[in-house]
Amino acid sequence: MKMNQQLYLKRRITSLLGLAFSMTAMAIGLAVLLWILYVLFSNGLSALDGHLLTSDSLPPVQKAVACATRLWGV
Amino acid sequence: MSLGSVMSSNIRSFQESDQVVSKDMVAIANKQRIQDFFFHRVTQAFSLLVLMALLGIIISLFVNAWPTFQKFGFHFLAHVEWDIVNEDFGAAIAIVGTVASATIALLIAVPLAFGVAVFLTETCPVWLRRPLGTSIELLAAVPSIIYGMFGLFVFAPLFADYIQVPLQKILGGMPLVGFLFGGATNGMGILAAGIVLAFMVLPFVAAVMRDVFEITPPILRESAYGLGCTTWEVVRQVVLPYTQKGVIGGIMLGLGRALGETMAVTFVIGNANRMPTSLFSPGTSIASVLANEFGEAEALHFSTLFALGFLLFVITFVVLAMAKMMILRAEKAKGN
Repeated sequence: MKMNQQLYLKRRITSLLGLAFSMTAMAIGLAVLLWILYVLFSNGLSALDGHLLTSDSLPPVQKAVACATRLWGV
Repeated sequence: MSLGSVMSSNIRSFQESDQVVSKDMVAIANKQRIQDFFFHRVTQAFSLLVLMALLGIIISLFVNAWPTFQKFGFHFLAHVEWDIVNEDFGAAIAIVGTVASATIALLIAVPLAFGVAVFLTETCPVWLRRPLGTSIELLAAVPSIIYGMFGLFVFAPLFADYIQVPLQKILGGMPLVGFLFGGATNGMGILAAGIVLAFMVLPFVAAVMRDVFEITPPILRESAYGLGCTTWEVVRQVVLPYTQKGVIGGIMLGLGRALGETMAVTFVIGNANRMPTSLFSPGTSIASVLANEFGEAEALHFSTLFALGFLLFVITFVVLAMAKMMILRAEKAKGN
């Protein structure tokens, strides 16, 4: 039986495109996750210190901020 | 002692012991029956408790929303005014914002989630499946407020400069679709909210799709491969039809989350009480109106917010009911 090369090629290309799409989707998902985590950690870690975790919140006019009340709810 | 008397005494003692055993068994059976009865009633009470909580929520929403429904009637659904001073309210803007942002989110998230699930179940090397699957699930662990902050401070400025402006330049002047890309390009609006929502619901839909793809019996897949199918054909013609019900369930789970999401949307949708005229227009959603205005609402305004909450509940319920009907019709069509 003679193989229909054109049909076979079409099926192969469709499959490759589908798999390329699935890989791209995975890459986009991962990229977004890494982007969010990078932004969160790069901005958040530099602000973390003992004072922030243990002191009460100060009025917004003062420059120093602390979040003990937010963390512990007291 | 004769043999006959020994036998008769043995038989008597057996009968007595049988009676003792059967009495014990009856006592145990009675005890089990009582335990079963209590277990049945307690579990029934727990399930009824959930139903009662649901009914309580619906009733309290409806009772508090009644003044609004009484004043505006069905006109409330189509009315576009939101005037707190003159107490003239309509839900149309919030409904359009909610439905539009959730629809955009699903249009982006569903194909991506499908791709992620196909990659994780079909083409990913086995050693990489768990770390990648966990990474995608980590997206679900990010709190929605983080998505909101990320959307407002990081995504919106980049979106404005690199997506909105070029899109407006290229497509803004086109007939028929040009109006979709009009308006201010400040990074916030319906489209931005939809995109942020899409990445929020992506891990939920992807995780469900991956789980249901994995339950496809290997014999079906291998038979298809044996017949010469390509990987894509196996996914499209074997895996997807077999897992159709679960896939629709996953999509509906994502839609439910997208419709009710509050903080992520509130940060990026723009919070403007006017009907959006393009994808870049600022708008509002039911959840973001509630979050923004409940603190200072009084009288009819307060009642209107309850009415919006009731409508959100109804929209979610209708969407889920439609999904259920779709699944049933698909099952019927297949002859199951």
